Amino acid sequence: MRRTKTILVVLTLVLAACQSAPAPTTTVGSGSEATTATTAAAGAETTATAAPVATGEGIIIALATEPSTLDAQLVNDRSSRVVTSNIVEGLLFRTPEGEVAPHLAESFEAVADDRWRFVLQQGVLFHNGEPFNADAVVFSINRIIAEDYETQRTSYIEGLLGAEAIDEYTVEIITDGISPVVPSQMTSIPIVPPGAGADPGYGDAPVGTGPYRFVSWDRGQQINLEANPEYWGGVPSIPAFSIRVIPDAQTALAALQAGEVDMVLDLLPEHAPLVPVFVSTPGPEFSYIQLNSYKDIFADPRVRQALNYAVDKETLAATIYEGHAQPNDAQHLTSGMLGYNPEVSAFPYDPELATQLLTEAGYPEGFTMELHVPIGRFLKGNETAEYVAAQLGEVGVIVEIVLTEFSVHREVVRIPGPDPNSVDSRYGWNSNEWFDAARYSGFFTCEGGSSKICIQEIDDLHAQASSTNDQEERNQLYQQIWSLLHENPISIYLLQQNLLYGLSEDLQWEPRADDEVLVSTMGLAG
Amino acid sequence: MSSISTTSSRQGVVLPAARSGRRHGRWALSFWVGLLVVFLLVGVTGDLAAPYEPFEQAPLDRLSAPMTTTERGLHVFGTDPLGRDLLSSIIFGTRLTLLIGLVATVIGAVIGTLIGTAAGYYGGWVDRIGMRLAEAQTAMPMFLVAILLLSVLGPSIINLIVVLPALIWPTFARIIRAETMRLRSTPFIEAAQALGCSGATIMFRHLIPNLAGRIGVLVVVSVGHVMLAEAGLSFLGVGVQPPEITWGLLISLGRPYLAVAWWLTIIPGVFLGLVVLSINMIGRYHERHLGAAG
Amino acid sequence: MNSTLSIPRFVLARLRDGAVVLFLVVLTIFVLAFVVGNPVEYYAPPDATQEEIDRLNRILGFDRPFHVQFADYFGGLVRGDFGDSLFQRRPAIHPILEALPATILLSLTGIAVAGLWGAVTGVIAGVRPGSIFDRVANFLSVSMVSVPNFWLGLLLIVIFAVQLRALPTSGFFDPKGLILPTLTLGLVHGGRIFLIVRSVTFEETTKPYVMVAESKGLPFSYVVGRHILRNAGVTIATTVGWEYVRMMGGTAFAIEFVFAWPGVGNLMIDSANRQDFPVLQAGVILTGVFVIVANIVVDLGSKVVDRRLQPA
Repeated sequence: MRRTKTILVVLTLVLAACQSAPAPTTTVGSGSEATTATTAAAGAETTATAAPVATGEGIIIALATEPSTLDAQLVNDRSSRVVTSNIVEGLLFRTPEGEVAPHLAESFEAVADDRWRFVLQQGVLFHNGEPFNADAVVFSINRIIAEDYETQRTSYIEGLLGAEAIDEYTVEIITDGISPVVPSQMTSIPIVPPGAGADPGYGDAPVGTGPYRFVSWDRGQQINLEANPEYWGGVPSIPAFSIRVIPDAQTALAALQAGEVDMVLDLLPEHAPLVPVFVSTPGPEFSYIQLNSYKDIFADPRVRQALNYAVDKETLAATIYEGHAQPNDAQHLTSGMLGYNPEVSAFPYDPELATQLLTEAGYPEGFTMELHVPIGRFLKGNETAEYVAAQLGEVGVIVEIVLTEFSVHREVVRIPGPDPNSVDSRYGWNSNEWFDAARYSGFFTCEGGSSKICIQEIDDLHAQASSTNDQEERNQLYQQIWSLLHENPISIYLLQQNLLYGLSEDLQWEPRADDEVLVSTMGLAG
Repeated sequence: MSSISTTSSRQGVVLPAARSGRRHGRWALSFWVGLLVVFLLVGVTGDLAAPYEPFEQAPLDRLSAPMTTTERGLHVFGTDPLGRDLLSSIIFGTRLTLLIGLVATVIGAVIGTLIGTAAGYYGGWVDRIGMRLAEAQTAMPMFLVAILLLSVLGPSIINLIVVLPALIWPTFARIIRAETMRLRSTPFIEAAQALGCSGATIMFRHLIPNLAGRIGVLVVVSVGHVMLAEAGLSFLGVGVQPPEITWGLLISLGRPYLAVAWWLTIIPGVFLGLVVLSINMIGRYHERHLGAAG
Repeated sequence: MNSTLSIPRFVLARLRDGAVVLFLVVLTIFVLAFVVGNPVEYYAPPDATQEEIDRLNRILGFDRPFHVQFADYFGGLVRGDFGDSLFQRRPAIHPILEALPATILLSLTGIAVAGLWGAVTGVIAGVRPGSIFDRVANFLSVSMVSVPNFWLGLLLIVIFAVQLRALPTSGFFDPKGLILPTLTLGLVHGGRIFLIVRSVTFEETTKPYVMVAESKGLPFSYVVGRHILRNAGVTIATTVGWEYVRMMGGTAFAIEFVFAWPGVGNLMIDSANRQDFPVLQAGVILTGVFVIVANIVVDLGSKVVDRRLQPA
């Protein structure tokens, strides 16, 4: 018993020592007692270190990976975006329905083949007091396209040459020839202030025009933001929020259940029944297995069609993704996106037809193929790969799954199709947050960086679509492309994946189809 | 000299020969040896022993709890996210788990023995370099270095077998060196030297065969250590990759489902623990009853 | 025994050896990373073209010849500059320094629990060999060192966090989050400490002075307290020291990973996954230095104490 007492003493000491460490956060959202009672004490509550949401009415959002930096112009990673999309804004904004709408710019139009003019809002200030005006826009554009800036968002700046201030609130974006995607690009290029933006430490303390401003970043733990009282769009209802890094799904789940956080962004489909409120909505992510049509086995379009018929996508969505996905319409697009063809739909599950097509194409016994899958990159990636492999096995196609580290995977995948070392096939997801078929033209044009196919007709259509600013015309042209890609598939078209969020009961929020988490649109019940 | 060698990974303890100890001990020994033999047999026969086909998927039965019966039959340990029977996966994984453990250990043993014998026999700079290398390496956070190496080289079985021996060869080197130095001055070695046998001949023909018993015991005990290391590396994602299976990998694959399917992580670990436990128990018995010196 | 070996010379020799090995490790990793690794692939957008990759390579300096890159890196090391994290775009040493307190907290409490648990039970078992307590404790301890430590952590998570919902699975925020990882470390290392302490204690009880004391009629607990513990205490202390070194060599990291504890180990594993080599190398170097120094300290300590005891 002496031993037990010793252990107890030690543990108590340890716990006591830990109590003097940063205080745990106030629990909000799981009950109304927390919200009403602490308003008076709010000011006095702040502790020196790791101050969480200071008032009782903030919320905490849990993320699996920590942002690399908070410089929104620099990086691609979603964790960063979750934070920065509340801090910085673009000239334009994408509505929840997917339309491009004015934001920091009141209006815009293409005034020449290589110029788009934007008229800016007046009276908007950055969080540090710098004025938002044409100079800030010019600075921001030049900053992101600068060679030595090394932005990772290269496709977002494609075709941009610079910007010019026409007067204090008018600016023109200069492009390299006709670039119909400028409006889409302007929804995602954030505007940063010339003063703070020139500071090399900008990524640690971002400044923008958005509804929330940056307060502090406790590395490895939590990022704190508070409402911008001078926000031009009106002060948001939630006065503050924090992003907390919880890498383990199980822990995040437990935190949500315990009311320690109000929202969890990276849940597994299996956790759906375990959280207070589970939100699942179709997102802009399309999974596929790209097939290299330069390879002999895939040269005949019938083979690629056969593989599409051979996979039971409904069951895949219903079981492995627990219903939180659905087969996509044999396009890397969905309804509402520019270029989506409503006449084209998913290949039904028909293994007999698949076998027939394979025989017609000259492979009655099937064949062997390699499938490259990156490790840990996509939700349930290897399970999907193994599932598909089993299905293809049923029609005589033997699949060797090659699992590699993500960078290695990308290196190998980049080898051009005609090269003998290029991959047979690879598993991937496309995230089309532009809602525009042009976003992934690299997959189906002859010269496209990700393309493993070459069809002259498609190239011509794409060239046409790239040289006009008429969106309806572009829509028609891309629809034709996807119709062709149905006869001549570039991939085994798999699923449209859902976005999964776990919420506490009190949090009111409508998810967006582009996976943006805008706290300014949230509210707390009670 | 005390039986405690603080820089090695020895776990053996000298217990007294208790009154009924001998008989009880032998019963226990038979049990552990028997268990190990069963695992070895399963490792060899593998696919035959399993109730289900390799990689047989049944997505509709995914994540079933242990002792659930589905249309396909009874799943003693439940199923994984693709509906594959866990018991079968564990059986399939036996071979590779044991194989990697054995091969890596043997390689490490060979390296360590060669270096240790040379160091003990020749002395001088050979000894200094060999022992410095061993000492210095044990001072490094080898596990971390292993992670780093594997993340650079890429996860694969070959790379594992290259990296794992690094974890154990210093122990072999040190102990074999000590033994070699002890034997070096025995008349029988001196006779061989007088006869003009070369150093290499003495090492390979005389010293090492004499030490075979000691080496053997070390190998057995080290296999457990290596198996745990492999499990750790595979668990972290830098070791074995699907569709190859080891028990460490199974533990890792089950981890995201901890909240809804705990058996996927826990049960493979039980098996791993049993094998290593058998090895350790056998090792302890050996030291206790056959009096191996430090 | 080299009782004439001066301490400073000993320390210097070991430090020199350690430095050599560290250098070799860094060089090896650098070579491998150069030949095999391509971290740019990780950080460029998914649809980057070859030109964009080349451009990033140029900007980050990865297209320079090997000796230039290595000289650059090594020169930086000497100055204390570990390069910049590829992931966070700031000096690689910063995330490590920020993660250090968490690792120190966890490892110290872990070894404290392990040491107390192992030592106390070891002494008890040592003075009562063959008892039920002894047998059970032995078996449990051997089991603890036979199972994978990360698995043990997961088991505790399943029992306490999932099924019982009693404790949080991890997190720096809640002091209760320290319990499970510390318990795991305590069990694993405590097991090994137990085995050694038990053995040493038992050996002490067979020494003549114990029988002499008993024949003098002194109560056993007195004997234990005054003599056995004092003699065995040294070995116990050094054992705990070695276990701590061993913990920092690997187990602590695995446990950090399992419990998502924001320490250096977790950072290392994340960096490995993200191909963030500067941080990874900085971590290996720093941990290596720590383990080398700790090794020297414990070694030195045991030698010094040994020498003091010998005349006695």
